[in-house]
Amino acid sequence: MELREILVRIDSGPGGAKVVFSEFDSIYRKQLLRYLLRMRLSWDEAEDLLQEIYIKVFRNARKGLGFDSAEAWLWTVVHNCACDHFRKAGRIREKEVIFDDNDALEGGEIPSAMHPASGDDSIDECVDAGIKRYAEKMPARAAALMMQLDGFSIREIADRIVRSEQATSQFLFESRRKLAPFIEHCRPLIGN
Amino acid sequence: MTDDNDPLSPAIEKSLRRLYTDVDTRVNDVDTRVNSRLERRLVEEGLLADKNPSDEKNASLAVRFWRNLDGWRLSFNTPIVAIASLVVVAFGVLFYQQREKTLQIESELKAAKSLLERQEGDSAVYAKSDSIINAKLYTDQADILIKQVRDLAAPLGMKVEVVMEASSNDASTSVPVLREGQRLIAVGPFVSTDPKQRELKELLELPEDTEGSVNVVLIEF
Repeated sequence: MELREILVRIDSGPGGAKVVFSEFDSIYRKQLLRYLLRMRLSWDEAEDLLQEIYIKVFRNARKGLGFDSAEAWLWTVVHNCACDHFRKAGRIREKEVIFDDNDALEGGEIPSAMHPASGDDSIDECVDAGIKRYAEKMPARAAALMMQLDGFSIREIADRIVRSEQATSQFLFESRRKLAPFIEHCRPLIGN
Repeated sequence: MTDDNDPLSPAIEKSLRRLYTDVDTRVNDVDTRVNSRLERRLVEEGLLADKNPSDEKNASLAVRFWRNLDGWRLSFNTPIVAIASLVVVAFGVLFYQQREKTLQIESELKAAKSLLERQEGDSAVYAKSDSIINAKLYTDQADILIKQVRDLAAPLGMKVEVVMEASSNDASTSVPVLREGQRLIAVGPFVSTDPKQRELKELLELPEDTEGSVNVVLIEF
């Protein structure tokens, strides 16, 4: 069953939603959890946020049906929830426009904790800490890069972030460039 | 994306993929069954029905009734509820039977009342049929009247018998043709030529030509 069809059932009322709940849950729960955990949320945070995402999806299914791509709407909802979470946690200093070029963190600013003297023991730990800060500061870019690493095509990423393919390519390029300050300091650890 | 400034050098990218792989492994271990916690939260928010509509449709009326009683989330299998339901059903059947009986009696009483009304002023007709109510006597001392009838009838070789008596307890059930305070008295036989029977006839206000084996007198008091 496609997401649009699921949303139609959800929009028909609690009875219809009940019919498709297990379908939705089996298709998307793991995908959503994976997304949230890769955004470096803790397991508990991810599970709590998952509830909020489900509520938003089930409450606003009609909005989703107004989008050309129901999938794009879903992932926008997911991303918005993640951003709200970071914002509430005080991790984003300014309101980030969803999947926009504007990032909460001013370009080039490198958190002091990201310098080589951060005390990370291994490359994995260093990259983990760096990508976590990056996801907190620039969740839209982190999400797009995550999709690229997952092997999504530019077309698929463009659909999800509601951009043209050309704009998506540019967005990904800039996202990789903006990741640099967060993990540059890990280079010396390569080989550890 | 392969320019020199790309921060995702193969080693870094490899490290990042390891992080993702670790996440994927944890996610893959997630129980694939429906997450009841999520489901319950959606139900609480009113976004999800508590029961599957198809289950609801197949459920009996009684089961749906119990399910829908807010604050009464008792299962239909609970013995107390099952017994209570049986008691309710039994009372329902008894009530139905009693109601049917009452309706039948009411119908018979109506018919009897109609019959009695037609009898008034036409007692001769019934005297001929011998065993049908043929007179109405009104008195405040019904027992005295019956005794008088007996006293008069006994020397004549006639029988006086209280056939039916309607009281407040059984007026509407055992003797449908009688109302409360009415008695049926069988008197007879009458022989029209016997002069001694005239007194009895007068007492009972029976017509002059009354004769036959048994006459039934309705006494109302």
